[in-house]
Amino acid sequence: MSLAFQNYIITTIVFILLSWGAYLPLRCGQLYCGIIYCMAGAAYFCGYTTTALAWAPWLALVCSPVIGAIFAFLPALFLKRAPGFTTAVASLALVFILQTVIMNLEFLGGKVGLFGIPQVKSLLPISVGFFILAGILLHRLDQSRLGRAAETLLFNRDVAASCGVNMDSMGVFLQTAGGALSGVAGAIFAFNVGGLFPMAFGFAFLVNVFNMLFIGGSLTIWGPAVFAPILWGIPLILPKAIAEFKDVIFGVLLVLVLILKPEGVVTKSTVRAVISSFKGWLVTTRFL
Amino acid sequence: MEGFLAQSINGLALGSIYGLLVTGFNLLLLVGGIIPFVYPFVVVICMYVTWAVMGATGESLLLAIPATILSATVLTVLMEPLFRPLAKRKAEAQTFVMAVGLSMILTHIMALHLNHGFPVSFSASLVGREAAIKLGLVVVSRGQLLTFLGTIAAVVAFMYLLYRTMPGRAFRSMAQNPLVARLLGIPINRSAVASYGVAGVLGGVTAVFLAMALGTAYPILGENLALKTLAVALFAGMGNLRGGLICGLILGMAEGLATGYIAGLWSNAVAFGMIMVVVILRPKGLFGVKF
Repeated sequence: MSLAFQNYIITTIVFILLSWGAYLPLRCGQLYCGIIYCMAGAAYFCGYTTTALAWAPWLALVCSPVIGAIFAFLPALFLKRAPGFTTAVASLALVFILQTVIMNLEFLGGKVGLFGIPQVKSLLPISVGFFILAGILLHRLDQSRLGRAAETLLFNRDVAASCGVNMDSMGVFLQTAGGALSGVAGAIFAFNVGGLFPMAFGFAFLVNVFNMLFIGGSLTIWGPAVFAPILWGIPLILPKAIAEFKDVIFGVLLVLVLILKPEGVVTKSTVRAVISSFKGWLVTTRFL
Repeated sequence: MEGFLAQSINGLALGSIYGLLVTGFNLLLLVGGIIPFVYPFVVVICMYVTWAVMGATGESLLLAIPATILSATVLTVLMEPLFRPLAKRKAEAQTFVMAVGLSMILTHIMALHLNHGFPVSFSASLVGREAAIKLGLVVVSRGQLLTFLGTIAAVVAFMYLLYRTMPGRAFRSMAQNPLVARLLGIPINRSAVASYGVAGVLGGVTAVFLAMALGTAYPILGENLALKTLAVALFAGMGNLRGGLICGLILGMAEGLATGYIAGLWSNAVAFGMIMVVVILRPKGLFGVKF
C-alpha cells in the first residue's frame, strides 16, 4: 500500500474519531468545540513523553484517551449544564487558551513547534483497531439506556428530567467520553505527522470536523464514518483548479444541508433502510 | 505612567470598536434569533472594499466610506434568507455552525482572491497617525480620536433608532416575543431584514474604524475578531446591548494593558480567559442575558 494512501486512511480515521468526539455531547444538545483542545493536549503529551522522556510510543498511545478524558473532564464540571451556545464558545476558548499556553512554553517547542516524534511502524493497523473499537463502543452506547437517555435530553429536556435523567452527569460523561476519543485522535495525529505546531490545532481543523459531522449526519455515528473519507478524499483527486475552492464547496454544502436537511445526509432511517436492504439481499441470495 | 496612559488610549480606541462590533452582533442575536459568528468576517471583507475603493479612486474617503457601508449592508442582508429557516426552528447551535460555514467561504475569498492573500495596508489619509492631542509624552493620534468619537456617535445614533423610532420599537418587540409582535401587526420578515440592514450599516462603520485603528487587514483577522466578539458578548451577557458596549471597552483596555505589561504572547489569552471566568463564576454574563 502506498504511503499516500496510508496517510489518507490514517488522517480520515483521525477526523472520524474527532467527529465522534463532537457527536457524543451533541446527543444531549451541546455543541462541543473542545475536541480540538483535547486532541492538542493528548498530541503534545505523546510528543513530549516520546521525545523528552523517551517513553515507548505504545505507552503514550494507551495513555492518550486518559489524557484526553482528563482535559475534557475538568472544564466539563463547569460546562455540564451550559446551553449549547455557551458550551460551544467556552470550549472554543479552551482551544485558544491552550494554543497560547503551548506557544509560551519552551519545553513544548513554543511557537516553533515540537519535532522528532518517533514514527510508529504499525500505525495504520493500530488506527484501524482504535476506529473499530470506538465504533463498537459508540454503537453499544447508542443502543443502551444511557444513549437513549442522552437522546431524550436532545429532544426534550423537561421530559428527560421528569424521567429521572441527570442532566449534569450526562453532560460531564458525554464531554469526557468525547475528550477520550479526541485524545486518541491526537495521539494518532502526532505519530503520523511526526511534528506538532500550536497553530495547527485551531479553527480550520474544527471547521473540517464540523463539515464531516453536520454534512454526514449528526444523529448517527455512520454519518461522519461515511462522509469523512468522501469529504477528505475528494479534494485530493479533484483537478487543482477545483480543489482550490474546496473551502467554498464545503461551506456551501454545509449551508445547504443545514437549511434543507438539518439532521445531515445519513440519518437513522437511512441506516435502518440500508441494513434492511442488506438483510433482504442476504435472504434473497440464501446466505440467511 | 506614560506607558500606562499610552496603552490605555490604545485599549480605549480598540475597545470602542469591539463595543460597536458587539452591538451589531447583539442586534442580530436579539432580532434575527441567530448566533452571527460570520458578522466580523463581513466587517473584515468590507475593510478590503475600503482598500479597493481607495486604491481605485485615488484615496478618496468620500467614496470609500459609503462604499464600505453599502457593501456591508448588502452582504449582511443577503445572509438573512439563509438564516431564516434556522431561526424559525430556533436551532441556535445550528445557526452558529452555519455562520462558521459562511465564514469559511469569506475567509477563502480573502485568502485566495483578494490581493493574492497578502495583507492590505491603508493609506495615511485614513489611518491618521499624526498627533491630535498631546498629554506630555503621551500622544493621541487623529485616528484613535476619530475612532473613539465616531464610535460614540454611531452608538448614540443606534440607540436613538432603537428607543425613539418605530422600527426600533419593532426590533425590541421581536426580541421580546416574536409571536406577540406578529399578533400586534409588526411585519416580522420585513423587520428581520431591516435589522440585518441596520447591523450591516453598523458593520460598515466598524470596518472603517478598524481600518483607521489597525492600518491593515488580513484574512485571519476575521477569525480573531469573531472570537473576541464572542468573548465580549458572553462576558457581558448574550444580547445585552449596554453590557456589550461596556465589556467591549473592558476587553480593549485589558488587551492594551496586557500587551504593554505582560511579556510573551499571553495577551492573546486575555479574551479567552475572560470567557472561562464568566462561564465558571457567572454563566449568564456580567450584566445578564437578554436573549
